[in-house]
Amino acid sequence: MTNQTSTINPATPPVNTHSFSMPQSAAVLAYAGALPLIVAVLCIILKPEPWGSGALEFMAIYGGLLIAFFGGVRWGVAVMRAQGPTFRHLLGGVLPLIVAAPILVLDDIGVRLMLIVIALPVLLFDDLKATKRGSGAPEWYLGVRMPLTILMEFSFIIALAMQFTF
Amino acid sequence: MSRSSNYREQEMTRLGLLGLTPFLFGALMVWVAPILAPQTSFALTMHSMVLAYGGAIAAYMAGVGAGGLLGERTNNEPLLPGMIVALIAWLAIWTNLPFSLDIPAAWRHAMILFILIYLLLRDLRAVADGNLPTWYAPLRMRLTFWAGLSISAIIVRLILWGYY
Repeated sequence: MTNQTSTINPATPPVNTHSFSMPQSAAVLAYAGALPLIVAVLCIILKPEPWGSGALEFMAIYGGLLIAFFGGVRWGVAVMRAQGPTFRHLLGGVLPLIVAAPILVLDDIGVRLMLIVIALPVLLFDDLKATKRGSGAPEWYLGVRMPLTILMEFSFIIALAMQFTF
Repeated sequence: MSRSSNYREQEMTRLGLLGLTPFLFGALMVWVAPILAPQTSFALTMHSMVLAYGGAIAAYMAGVGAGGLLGERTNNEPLLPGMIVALIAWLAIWTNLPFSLDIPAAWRHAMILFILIYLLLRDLRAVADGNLPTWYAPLRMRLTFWAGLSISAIIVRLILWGYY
């Protein structure tokens, strides 16, 4: 039997664990970020006071900031490209911010939630396209983003349904 | 520096300066509107809009940092501080807090201001470490300076009105 340690070149640099830890930490933080939405949806359904009444507002603000955050991620990825960002990349980064602004300032909570429900899958779809073109975030990021967006989308759809039903 | 990358920088600078408009316009209106009309309602609406916009910008800049970490260059910056900053921004603009909790308006703007300064320092460090392009630093300083000045002007106005 060959001594396995003899096959390891002592000059070989240690494995860069960063590439493994980054997706893991991003996934943990991303799902932790979805928790407040799930709690808010439960509050909307169960209506415990004083949380129940403010839960819709909470979700609308959270959703608006999420959309702005996703736009920022897009911009950050574009800026970091070795060949620099194109105008299309920059526009793709700025548009979510423009969508987020009315979500944060409009009075009608139904319209705000509706905008979030529309914007989240559009942003995901656009990010998927950018990654396929090779100009977007790494694939592992979208592996986190996709289930997370579905989870968030369901939360906002339930909130929207509750808003229009009751 | 190539001509095309210079052009991209100019585009980014233009977009950045365009992003400053709500801050500058809002600060101007908070001071000028009560002179033009005796009621303060429009000025207060403008302050609310700037606050919401400031929260969105804070979340956006936190996202830029996270996006930079996903980019082609490797670095060991943690993701958590950016997430915490986005959560503080959300707290700053959430006006209907439960348990009758309330944060005065001037303090909400101050929270956004501190977040923007923190994110500027983070980005300057990222530039120094080579994780963001060099030309990004002066642009970020310029944008944060004017945004910070606008927010400070609104804070002063709100304090004069007693919203602290």
